[in-house]
Amino acid sequence: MGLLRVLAVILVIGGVVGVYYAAVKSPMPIVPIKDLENNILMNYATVYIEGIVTSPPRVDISGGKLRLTIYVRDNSSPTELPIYAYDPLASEILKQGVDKLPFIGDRVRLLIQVRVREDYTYAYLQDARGIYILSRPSGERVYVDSLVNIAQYSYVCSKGTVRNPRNVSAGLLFDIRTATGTVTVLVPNALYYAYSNELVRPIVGNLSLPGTYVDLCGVVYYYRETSPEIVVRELEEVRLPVVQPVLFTVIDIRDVPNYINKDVSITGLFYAIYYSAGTYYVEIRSTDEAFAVNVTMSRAQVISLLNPATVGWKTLVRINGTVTAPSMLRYVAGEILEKKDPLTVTVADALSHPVGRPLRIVNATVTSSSTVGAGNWRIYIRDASGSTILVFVPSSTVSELGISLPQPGTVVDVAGYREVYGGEQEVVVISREGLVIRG
Amino acid sequence: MIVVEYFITVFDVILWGLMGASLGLALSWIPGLHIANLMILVLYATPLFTGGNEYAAPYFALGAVVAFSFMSSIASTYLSVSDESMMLMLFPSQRYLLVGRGHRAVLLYCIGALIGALFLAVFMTTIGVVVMPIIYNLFSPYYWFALLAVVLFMFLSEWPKESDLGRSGLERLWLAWRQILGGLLVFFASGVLGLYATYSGLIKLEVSFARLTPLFIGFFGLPWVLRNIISRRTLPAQDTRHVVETAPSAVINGATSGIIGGGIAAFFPVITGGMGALIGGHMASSRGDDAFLISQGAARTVYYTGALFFLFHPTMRITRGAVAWLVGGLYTPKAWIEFYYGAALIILVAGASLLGTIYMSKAVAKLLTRVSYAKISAVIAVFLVALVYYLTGFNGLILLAAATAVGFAAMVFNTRLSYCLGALILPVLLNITGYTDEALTLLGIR
Amino acid sequence: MVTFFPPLLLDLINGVMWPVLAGVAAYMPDFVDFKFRKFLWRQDIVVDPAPRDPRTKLSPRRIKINKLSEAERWRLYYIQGYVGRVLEEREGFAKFTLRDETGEILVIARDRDYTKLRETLGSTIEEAARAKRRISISGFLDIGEDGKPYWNVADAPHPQLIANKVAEAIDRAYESGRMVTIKIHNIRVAGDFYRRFLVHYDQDNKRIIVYMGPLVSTGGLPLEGTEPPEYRKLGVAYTKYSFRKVYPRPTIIDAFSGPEIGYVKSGEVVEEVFIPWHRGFSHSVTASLIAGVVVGLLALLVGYTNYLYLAVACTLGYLAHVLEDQLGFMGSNLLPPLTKKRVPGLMLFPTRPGLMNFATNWLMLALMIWNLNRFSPQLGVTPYKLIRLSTVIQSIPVHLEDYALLGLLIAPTLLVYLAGVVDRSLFIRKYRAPGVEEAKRKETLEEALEEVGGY
Repeated sequence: MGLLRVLAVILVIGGVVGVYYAAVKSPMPIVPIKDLENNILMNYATVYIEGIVTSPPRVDISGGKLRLTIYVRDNSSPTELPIYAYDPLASEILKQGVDKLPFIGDRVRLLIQVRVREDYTYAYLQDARGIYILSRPSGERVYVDSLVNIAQYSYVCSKGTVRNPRNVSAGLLFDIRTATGTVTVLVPNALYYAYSNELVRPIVGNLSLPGTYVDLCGVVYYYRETSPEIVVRELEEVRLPVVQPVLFTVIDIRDVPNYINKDVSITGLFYAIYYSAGTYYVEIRSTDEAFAVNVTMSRAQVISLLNPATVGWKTLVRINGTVTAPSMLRYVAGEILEKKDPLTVTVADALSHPVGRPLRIVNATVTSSSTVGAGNWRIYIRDASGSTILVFVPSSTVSELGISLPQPGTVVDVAGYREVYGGEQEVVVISREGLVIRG
Repeated sequence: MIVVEYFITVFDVILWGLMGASLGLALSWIPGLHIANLMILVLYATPLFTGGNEYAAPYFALGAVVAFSFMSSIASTYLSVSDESMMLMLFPSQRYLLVGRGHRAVLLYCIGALIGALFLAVFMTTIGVVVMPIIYNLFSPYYWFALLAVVLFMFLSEWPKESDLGRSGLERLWLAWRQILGGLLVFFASGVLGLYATYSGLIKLEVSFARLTPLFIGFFGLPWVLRNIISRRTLPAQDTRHVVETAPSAVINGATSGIIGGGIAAFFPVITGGMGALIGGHMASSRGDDAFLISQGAARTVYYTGALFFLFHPTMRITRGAVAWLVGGLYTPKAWIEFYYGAALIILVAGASLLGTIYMSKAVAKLLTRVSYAKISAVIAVFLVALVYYLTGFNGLILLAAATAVGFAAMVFNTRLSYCLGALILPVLLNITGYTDEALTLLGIR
Repeated sequence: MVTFFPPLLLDLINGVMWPVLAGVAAYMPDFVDFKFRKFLWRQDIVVDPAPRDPRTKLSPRRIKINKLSEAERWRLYYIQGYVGRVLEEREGFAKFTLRDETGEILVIARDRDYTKLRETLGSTIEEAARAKRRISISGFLDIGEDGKPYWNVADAPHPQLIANKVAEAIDRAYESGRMVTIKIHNIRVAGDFYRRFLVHYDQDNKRIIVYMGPLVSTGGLPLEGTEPPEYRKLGVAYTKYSFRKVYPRPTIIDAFSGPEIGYVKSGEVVEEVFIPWHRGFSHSVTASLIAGVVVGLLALLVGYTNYLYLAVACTLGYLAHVLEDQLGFMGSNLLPPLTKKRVPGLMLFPTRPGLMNFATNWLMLALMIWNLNRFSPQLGVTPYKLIRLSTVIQSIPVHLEDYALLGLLIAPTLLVYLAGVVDRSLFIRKYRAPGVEEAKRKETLEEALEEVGGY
């Protein structure tokens, strides 16, 4: 019998080792969500799914335990799969920090165990390391004054004063009164657990006070698919600057050369955009179009204030800045005084417009396209006018577009500014709204 | 009432319930096959319930489960003969069989099963209506504590059977702890296999419902039949008269122990009938072979049937056990009238199953003394292997082989076969304590 | 006991399982006894009347003729070989020699043993000899009146062996002044049956009488037709010294494990201590305090926040076991090293120990329900208490409803305990001291059987 015991131990160890070798050669599959839904044979199946997180992570107390809830959707099914994690797993995930917390707009791969009920399907997260964040919305700090026409899951920023703060089940909800509009913001309660109390309390406390000036970034979410809001993803992206009033002397644009190194405020027409060595030069002209100054701006500043896709040629603007040269201002702040719609032209017309002109071409067809350099796109388009023009999309814009290179035959709308590069006429698209696929 | 009539009628309840009972009675005598496997096979091979029959699914399942709780006594009595040399303690049903009284063991079991079924139906439709939701809400946050406590109790309370053979204190201690260590080996090895089956792609996704089937057949089915083949036992002629030797006190004691044990197992997730019966036996101080057999019948019936019947309770509707999850995915009963239909069906099917089991017992008893026991076991072994292969393919056979080794180890170390439930319990315990991560990394599948 | 402490409950809700140690602590007293003390307890004398075959784990096992010696006298074995010379064979008696590869021995079969032997062989001894068949014969070595050894055909050992050893243990206990423990192995045979034998203490005559009984099942039911014949049914041994045996009935040894019995000199007599390793230090209040301290320190070391609550819960759990055992007969030595002797138990409900057990289990369950109900709102499990007696019985004020619920829940247990007190008085009046001793013995056996109960 002693020999039998030894044999039994050997067989057990051998069996487990055999299973190990078979198991490492059989990784867990990634399964489309539609294969899980309403499939009773999938009950208790442990699988990977891959998809987009479609709502802010929510934390609540269920049965005395912390519960983290996220919703994920993939391309296989229009429904969102609710995925839960209870303590201690929920706390473990939250403690890992926001870098590891699946957030709205993130493309994730999750290890889940499925539960199929009569009329709904849900899942449980299995462990913290079974969460892979494959990509998440990000980009430069592009400021918006309102969320109209801003795509869901975009990463945007906004600043202004807090209005109407209220606590909802999902977290702290408030509005920001921006320069020209209102933006709704949600600080999800998941962040209360992901950060220490010492960090959370002052921020949330300040945001709960109407009148607080805040500068924050986050991901756009359409609540109930209709009401857009910015969902703060990281508390580090919430800034509560103490606003130092800067006095800008209001002057006539023609007096700029007399105010070198001074902070001035001018009014003029948005006329052109030029680019050189990493800096954008926005031409502002006097209302009679006789006198021009160039305002140096970063890409993000241009898109925030003078996005060619939404702000048209000859829009009346106020620019606050510092005069650095007789015809040069360094941009500090700005606002739209009288907005004009983007100048919409045919390709043939665009070819005749001068370099720098912001314009828009609609319903043009892609004739060829390619990727060059470090991810820049070159797309030739033709419209009913019969002419063809090159559309250049820099890689910084490509990374924000979230689409793949449009193929010949695709109908697009393009908005940007006119440029000539290497002797070739082109339209440069600098914002993600500047290339829209029609079909 | 009108709304429910639209969904299901009394006639449907009886028809589908008896159909389920027929399935249970026809197949539950095969050792190592769980009723959940049978239900899955039905749904996988012939999806009867799509196309308007969903409301009948719970009653079909209820009939099958009640029948299974009765008919499974055939397997445990007649088809798990043991050599006393291979086991230091035979189960009472095995002892009865070896002295030609297998049928009496089945009768005692059926007495317990019938009492369990009646108790379940009456309790759940009276006191249970009020009490069970309260008990559920009070205890549900502590399920996993109860599970861990029961598992620890199983280990702590194991009786070392071989220690007497030691000549010195240390040798006796070693012999005793060898058995306990064997139990730990079985528990953790089965737990590891459970983790591999659950968290790897070994089993095809389409049959993930059967991911544990190779393991459970390997733990509980194959070692049984292999042992039957090895022991080459011939059975004495069986006395198939309808006679039992017991006393009212043993019936009460056994039934009480079984009902408590089965109730605990039905209520708490993952805790099985055997584990619940251990607790029930200690609580009710169960003694004697007859009381033990009666308690087994009561425990198994209350456990399997009770677990599914919770799904019918409109204000509780907790889902326990694989059958309930399967059925609940098709249709969950919602109205009180469905609940009461279910209770009535339990009593009806219990009566039918009692008769069916008694006559099956007589038939099997006669068959076993004519046909070679080893041959029957060999046929069953081939069937079980073929079933695993059909459901889960070659990888399933690998799991089956490993699980059979673990079941064999449990036998050889004379330790509790219940430890093989580690395949279910260990992944759950790791999950609720937050150590799944570490375990999967250790096992090389993270 | 964990349910008395909300911080521990909260930990359990959140998947922190340390509080389960309190449950482990509650089982510790019996775990220490049945998994350690039992095995490490010194066995001064070991009686193995029927050594088991190591492969089959059944008795008898084979012994070769050259190994038969005085030391093996009366032990049940089987010998295997060929019939040599048949010296005498008639109805009810046979005398012949058997030869194996190591030697030859005289074999005597008488009475029913002869009949059984013929049934087993399926022939007479003569016929077996002529056929030169290899045969196995169970029995024991005995010494004839002529002083020569012979093999006595039998299916059980001779009880004289056991009687001699018990007497020896008593005498040694007296002479040495310390406890002498005898381990008597049981006899397990094919079919999972056990040979029952009884040890009777005839203190008036300073005799130990051992009766060899029938085969019984593990459930204690005797198998018909297995009683030994009269000539080897009884073994009698005399002790040199007096012993006291208050317990009136014989000690029965049959299924499961054979007992350890201690003998200790008390004054001028030797007293029996049944299963001496049980209910010692492990079953004391002192041990419960130590358990709490050890667990608390362990928990502190691993960084568990609520280590203090856990320590208290473990102590209470351990103590609950000790106090529950105190409801029975045996009692325990509660406060060693301050106390040396066992404090006798409360002896509640001697005629229905199962009911006492059940009532005590219910008490534990009732306390759990009570605690979980009153703490659920504060733990966030439910928004309000689920059981609110003040809403059902209007006359109960809200601030007293918890106590009313407690009373209601534990009332069945209290009633059983009360009935137990009454039953105790009646029992003692009827059976007096011998009855108490018997009840103690039964309780000890029940505890031992409980350990075996789980499959």
